[in-house]
Amino acid sequence: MGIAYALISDITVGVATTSISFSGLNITKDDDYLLVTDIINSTATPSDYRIFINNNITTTNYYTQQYYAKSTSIASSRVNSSVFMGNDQSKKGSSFVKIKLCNSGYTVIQSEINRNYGESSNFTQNEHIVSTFTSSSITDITVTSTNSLSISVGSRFMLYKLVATKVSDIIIGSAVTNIDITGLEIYKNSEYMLVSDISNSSATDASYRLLINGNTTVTNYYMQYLSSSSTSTSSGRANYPEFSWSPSGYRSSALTRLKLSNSGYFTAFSEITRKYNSTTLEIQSEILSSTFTSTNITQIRISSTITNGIGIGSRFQLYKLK
Amino acid sequence: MSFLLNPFISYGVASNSYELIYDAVISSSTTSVTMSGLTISKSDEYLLITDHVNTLASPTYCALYFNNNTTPTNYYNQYIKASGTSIVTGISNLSQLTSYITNNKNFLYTKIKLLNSGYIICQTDNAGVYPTSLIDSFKFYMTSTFTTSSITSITITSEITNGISVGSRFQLYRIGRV
Repeated sequence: MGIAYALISDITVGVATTSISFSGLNITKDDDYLLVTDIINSTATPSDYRIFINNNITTTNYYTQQYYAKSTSIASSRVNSSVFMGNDQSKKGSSFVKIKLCNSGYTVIQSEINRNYGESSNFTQNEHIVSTFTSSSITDITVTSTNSLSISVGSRFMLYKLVATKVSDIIIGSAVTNIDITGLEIYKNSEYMLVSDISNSSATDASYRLLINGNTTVTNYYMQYLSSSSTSTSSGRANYPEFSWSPSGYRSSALTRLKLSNSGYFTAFSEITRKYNSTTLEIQSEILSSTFTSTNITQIRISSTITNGIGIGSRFQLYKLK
Repeated sequence: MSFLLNPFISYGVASNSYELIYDAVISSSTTSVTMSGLTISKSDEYLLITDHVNTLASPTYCALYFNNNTTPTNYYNQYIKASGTSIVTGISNLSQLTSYITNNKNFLYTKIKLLNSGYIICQTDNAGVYPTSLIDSFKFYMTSTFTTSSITSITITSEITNGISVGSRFQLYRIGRV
């Protein structure tokens, strides 16, 4: 039995550099990749780190929405580049970077960062990046520092491919309102992940919900969200099981962990890049829980609040991780 | 529209899956849980999934320690709390795995990484009071101030005695490795 994430490439930096590359890749729309970084900046100058695909190194061909939380401050911003991380001078940072070539052909990257780790000034940053161009596959990934040689000795980059069993892969050929995945065997020992790429081609903004075992009463679920859009950071709570959301005419990409907790409640943790097919992408994190308990999950309904709100080209990939 | 699962795939056990290293299901309230005999290297990726139940009438959180280094000030933790429309952030000089709860439950995912530099970092997504209408979100980003060459033990400790109640569960997985 193999492990869920297979190591594709492992680069440890022996001589300070400005750029590292992974080449000869074959990342398709079927795949999900994870890049785990440990970047040391031993120089006397701060540096950002950018990520590029397929040697498309024009920074304005990417947009980044980000927020940071540093001590008691939290702030958001959006930039026309592909920054996935940053380091102050003589500091270290680590990030978990999810890389997805969406069904639409756009690339979505989600980076979650511990900056200044090892120190009392440890803080966090979350960066979501989208390409403005489409690709049929990803053959190269390049990481560069904006300050020369700020990928210092001891830095490490580990690129993984998710090779867990995919139990369902649904590509929408005709717009629908609901999708039911049946025949599931999700128990308290199970770990599942849903990778979704939703196109809302309707005329109305749509909320997308997860409902289990035929329990379609939305008030039997609650969710809490945290959002970052341009310079605004906001949060809220709602009495329905939303795991993604897309305004009219836009696409959203979400990675959602699904779990039946030991207490028997259905939970879902979702990290969403909203409006990824635009220059005004947004970040939303959503956590939801049922108010009722179950011994297992046999059915999951993906439901749009808008009739036919799950548009053509939407895709849902369900992985069994355990 | 209804979709059946692929009939050619067996759903008994995933062929490439998370490797379960430790599974602690709490049957008697306790203050501390220790996972020992671990061999976590700089080349591994680990995930801790926690269902923390506190049935006491007093609030408690759980700390997360490595290699018996249980000095709280050897860790720093940046947090983001989103509760309703309120967002609060801060940094604490301690180790924190779960949020404070009183007679309630937390459910959370924690990525654990021993970095090439030897420091340990964690990233936690915590659903606090999660089966209720007051569900909130805590994100914790923790770092050790010490370095190590490997992680041999993980200790989860409640701030108050017996604050890890019956029904709590801690599942440690290896999810990636060289």
